[in-house]
Amino acid sequence: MKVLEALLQSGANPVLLLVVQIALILGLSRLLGLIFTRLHQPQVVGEMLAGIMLGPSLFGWLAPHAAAMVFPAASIPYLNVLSQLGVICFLFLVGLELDPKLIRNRGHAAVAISHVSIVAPFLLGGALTLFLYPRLFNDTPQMQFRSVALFMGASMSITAFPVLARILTERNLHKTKIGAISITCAAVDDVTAWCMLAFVVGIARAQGLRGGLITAGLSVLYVAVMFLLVRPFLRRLQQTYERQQRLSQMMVGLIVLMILVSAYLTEIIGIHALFGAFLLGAIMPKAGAFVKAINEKLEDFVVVVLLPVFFAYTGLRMRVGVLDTPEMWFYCGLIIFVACLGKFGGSTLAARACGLGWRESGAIGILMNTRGLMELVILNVGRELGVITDAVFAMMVIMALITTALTTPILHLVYPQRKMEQEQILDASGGYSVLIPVSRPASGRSLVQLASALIGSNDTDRRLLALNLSRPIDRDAYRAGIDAEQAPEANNSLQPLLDEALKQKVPVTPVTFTSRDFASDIARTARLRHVDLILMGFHHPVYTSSILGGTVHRVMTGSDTDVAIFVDRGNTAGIPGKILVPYMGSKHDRLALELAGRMARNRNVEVTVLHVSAPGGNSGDNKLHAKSETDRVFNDPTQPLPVTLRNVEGDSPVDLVVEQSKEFDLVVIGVAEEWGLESQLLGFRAERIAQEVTAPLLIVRKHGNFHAARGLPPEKIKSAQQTAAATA
Amino acid sequence: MSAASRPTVVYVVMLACSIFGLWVILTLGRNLKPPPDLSGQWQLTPLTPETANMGSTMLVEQSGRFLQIAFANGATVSAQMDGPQTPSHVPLASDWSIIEFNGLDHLDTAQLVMNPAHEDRTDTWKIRRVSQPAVASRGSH
Repeated sequence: MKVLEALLQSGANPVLLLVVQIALILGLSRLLGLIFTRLHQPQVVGEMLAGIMLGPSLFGWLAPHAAAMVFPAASIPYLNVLSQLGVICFLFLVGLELDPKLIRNRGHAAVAISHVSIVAPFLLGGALTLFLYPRLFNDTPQMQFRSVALFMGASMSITAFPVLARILTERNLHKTKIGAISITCAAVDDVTAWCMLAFVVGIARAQGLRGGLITAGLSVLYVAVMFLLVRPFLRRLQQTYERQQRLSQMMVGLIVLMILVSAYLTEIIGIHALFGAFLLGAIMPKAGAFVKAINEKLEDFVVVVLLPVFFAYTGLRMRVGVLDTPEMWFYCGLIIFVACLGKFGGSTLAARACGLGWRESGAIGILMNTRGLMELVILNVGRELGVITDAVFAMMVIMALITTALTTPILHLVYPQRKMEQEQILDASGGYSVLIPVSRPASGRSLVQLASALIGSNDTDRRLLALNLSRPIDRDAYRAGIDAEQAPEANNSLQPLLDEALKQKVPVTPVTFTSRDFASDIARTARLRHVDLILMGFHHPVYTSSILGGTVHRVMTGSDTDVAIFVDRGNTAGIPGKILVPYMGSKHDRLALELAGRMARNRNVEVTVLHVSAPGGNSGDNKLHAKSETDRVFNDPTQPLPVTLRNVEGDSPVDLVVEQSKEFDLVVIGVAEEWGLESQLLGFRAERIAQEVTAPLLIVRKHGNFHAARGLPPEKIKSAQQTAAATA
Repeated sequence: MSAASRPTVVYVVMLACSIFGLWVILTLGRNLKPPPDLSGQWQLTPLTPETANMGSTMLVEQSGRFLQIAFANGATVSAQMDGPQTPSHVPLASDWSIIEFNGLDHLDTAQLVMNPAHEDRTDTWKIRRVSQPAVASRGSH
């Protein structure tokens, strides 16, 4: 506290105070954003909440003295300037992202849903004003019924395009019909909302009919100038960029200047600075990399620094304390109900009327009900104009927070993962199939060679799936960035694998999507695609030295499929010629035998089964069992395979394997405590076999019940399990 | 009706409904009257020597019928407009007193009357509004 006070002795120094304020805002906003992301909520919900927490609703309520020191009234105008600047730049970015194709090439369903999703909440918002106006509004010149009703309607019809796009991307819904319709509707809503805002602001500020006509005339003139003069100039800028292949500082300066001038003009005309910024972004030529380059220059600072300041500024102006009676909370509930009824109900019914199923229609309705940051922007405008009171502002902020936070969980309920998976399940072919998750492009080549040996070349139904998962990039938190930015990266990651597959003449199906949880998405994809084996490369986990830790551990323990981890020594030259399979009888060892058998069958490699047993003991039975298993796998009467069974005894199975492995090109081994190979989430000790065996390793883990997988009847499974337990 | 004209008809109907709905809302709303605006900073002048000392100013934050009054002496009151209001008589009910704003005129002056609950006395002030919440006008950002 003393440190804080010392820091805030800077009360006399506004710059130091501003630095402290921004540091606090940034810290809390990033922290809550992170926590909410972990809770599968949009990051923006956490950041909005952080802003509210810093205001009188929490910080000021819990520690009024400290709050007054950190955010004295005299400092608020500085934050206001920063936040206004942030929102102006953000609206430019929103306009920049607006893809005209989304609006132009849309089907009848999207057209109908998008229009109803605006009209229904707009009218319901206006109708609600009839009830709230005598109760929650004051008799001031700014709060005339016409302005209030139009503003309430506009603020109810907002959809947060960026948050919606983010949710779609995270749930991999953006390529589905629901995703396509929702994105189109949200894009239309976005354009409509900012035009509506300009209209409402124009009405609210117009002084008499003459003033209104002047505003309307100037607005039309401004839009015409933007399209007829500014747009061709922007095309020239784009051509210059394409010629130079870089965005010079001069060009960035020019663009920022244009944003400011456009915002200034619309503010002077009377339709708000935000519309000017948005329109400039919207008319930017979208082809090529020009728009992306501008984005990269501006976005991080705006999104990371300025927007949290905007949230904090909103929080500082919002006081939940004004809602201090049950009646006020009833009105708050009513606003939330009407907002959801208009947006969710309208969109759902429109989607249903367009022929979509109830579940899909409900999902679209829920997505369209996301308001997020956009609602805060429009509410702050209303507050500045004096169109809404403190209580209505607080109620609407709560509504924005709740509708945004509810989207993901309700979407899970209405359109659960299970349902999505049912739709995505593909027919399983009869052939052996392998899924290769690729995280490092360099590992793709050796994995394809191995996979090709496993699936062979004779089976026409064989399948190889190359999976590339990418983490959602930060900018997705505020903006869509759906396909354009991720596809090239995904292709780059898979390219070496695809090239090698072409060489090996193995048919590959590439699968790419965004994932927050690689391990569970790998397991899920394997389940949905009915693959027989997940074949992964190995990279040292970040925090441990164990091979079978981290993501590998989670894939091994969490998937319903057999898993093989390939530890490449960098000396693999094509298909291995000699394979060693250490064997002690566990189900994982048997899987190792079967995989080695597959390679022997498909590539005619030489397999040696190294049966290890303890000195003395029941070695006769064990040898018999090892022999019968080896025969089962290798002695196919139609195609006998070259195999050697070596029986060795020793106290340390690991030492025996290390010693015997020297003459082999590949060691295929099951996970087992005896081999020192145990799957563990946080293993700080590297596996000895992995360290000391110089040949490449394929560590395999059999999923679930091996005997059931082989189709044995339940009564035989029990006795087989007892035998296996005894032998192991 | 041809397949192409059907969506057009749907949109014309939807547009007509929207315009009609908006017209109905605006027409109905024209007759509505919100509560008188009392928000802002007020200067207090006691009218009798016995009047309680609440400080020289008070800040009224108003959201329709709901008010929060903060006096300069630190006392705060959450009050709610009670009964019919006109600019010349605005009765308020709160937990600890009955408050009235009487005779609010175009010069923003009025009389504030407070009857603390369970006390047999009436405090009266002459009040004058010195500032109202700031509102952004055109080009004021």
